[in-house]
Amino acid sequence: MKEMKPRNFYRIIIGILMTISGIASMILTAGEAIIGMILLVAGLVFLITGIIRHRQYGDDPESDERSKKIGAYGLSYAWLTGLLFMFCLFWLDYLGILRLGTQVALAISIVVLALSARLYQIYLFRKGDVE
Amino acid sequence: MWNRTSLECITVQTRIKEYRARFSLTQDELAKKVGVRRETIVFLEQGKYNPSLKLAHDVARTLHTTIDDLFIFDDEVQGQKSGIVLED
Repeated sequence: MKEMKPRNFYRIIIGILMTISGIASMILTAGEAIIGMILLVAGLVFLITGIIRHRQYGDDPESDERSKKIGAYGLSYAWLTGLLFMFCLFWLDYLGILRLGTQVALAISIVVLALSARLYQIYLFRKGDVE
Repeated sequence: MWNRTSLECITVQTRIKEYRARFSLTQDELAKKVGVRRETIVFLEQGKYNPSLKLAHDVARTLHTTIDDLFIFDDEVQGQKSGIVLED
């Protein structure tokens, strides 16, 4: 049995409390369920994060200098990728080759930034270092 | 016994594995003592990770040796006298 870090213990407790509060709020305020829904979703996020982190790391450190370094480099590379992507979007739109709406362009940019950051980090983690 | 891997233009060799065996430490135990993830020790041993001075110091201190003895760079290797067995 892995020893649980206080951080994960609090995540789970807060998650349970928020989930229960959310369910109670939705039942008691039948007409206005939005607050209850927000509490429920946030509670589930806390709960799931706490459980996953505990199962994955237990009492071991979740991050160290290597993971922080790789995380930072992954974000930097993703920022550059996003810049290049938006540069391309701008010129495609300017030249009339591809015209996207604001919402679609923003949505694709968000996906490119988030996905590329994760992919760079996965690649660097497998490689071992950023050099 | 040396483990050697190229880091772009520098070659770093480490003797962590040898020292670990001397103290009967597993990678996981060494990682816990130093306060890093096990993967970091794995990549350090393979010479694929270039550690900070602090991490190199912490590993050396944990293994009761010096940074000089644990890590060696390619310019030092060329100056080494024969007698050291290099192992890929």
